[in-house]
Amino acid sequence: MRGRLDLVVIARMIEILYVEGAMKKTQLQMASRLNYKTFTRYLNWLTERKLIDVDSEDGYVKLTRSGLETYQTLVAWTRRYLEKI
Amino acid sequence: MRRSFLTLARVIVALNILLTIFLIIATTTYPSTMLSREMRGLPPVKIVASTPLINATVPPHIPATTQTNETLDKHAESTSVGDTLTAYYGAEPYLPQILALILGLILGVTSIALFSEFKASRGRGYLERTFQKFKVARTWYIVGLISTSILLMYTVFIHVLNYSLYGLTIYLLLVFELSILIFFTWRIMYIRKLQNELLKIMMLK
Repeated sequence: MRGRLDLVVIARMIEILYVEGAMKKTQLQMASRLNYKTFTRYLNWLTERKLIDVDSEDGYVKLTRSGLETYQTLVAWTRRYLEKI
Repeated sequence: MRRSFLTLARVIVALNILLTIFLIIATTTYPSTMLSREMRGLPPVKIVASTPLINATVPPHIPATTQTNETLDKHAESTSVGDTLTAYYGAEPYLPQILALILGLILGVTSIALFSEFKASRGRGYLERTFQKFKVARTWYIVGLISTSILLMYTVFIHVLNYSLYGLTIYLLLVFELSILIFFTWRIMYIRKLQNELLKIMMLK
């Protein structure tokens, strides 16, 4: 995959899926505030890491168990280290 | 005590700007009460202009070649003092440009930090806002390091130019800036450590 990935964008996408649940790709793209090309790049990266799952039938995107755990780990980690930075 | 180091970094950067403006005003309004100037090194040699007496009847005791050499020696001595002064004050004709560059650099890097602060304020969720703050903190620490380095260089520069700022104040300023430099280096190293941990969690590394 070419280009660097932004931590903030990854966090944003995972958080949206955690808070709002499964949603359509277009909805997620709008909420992520990304253009289609960039959104696809991030979506592919998250799918490759098995953090999200894209339903091939209805096109809904949802967090996998691994994605859920990653989100919880991230929140715990940020509360521990980043709040008093 | 939340984000106390970040607040401290912002305060230090603001202080750096104020100190730079103070030093620039002090340098440009010289001579003033803020700044005096002392000559260091060798005092200028007073050259006594002497015309060798030429007596047509009595030949001079010193041969003409020796006398010429002595005169040349005196000139050589005065030139060495002149060179020292040129070394001290050689950069002075460029002082306005140097001041503009310093002020421009400090204000420029601070505006980058302010812009990143503005960008971070648009974050929505908890995780996004925290990550934005993390990036902002990193930017502020780097900006602080750059502005302190610039200020330190300028303080050393005016010290080299023999400007004396309230006696020992310039030394206190040097110690203060060096300690700030250590603080920012320590914070940047800490941020780097955290970033590596974060990249591991996010499976980006």
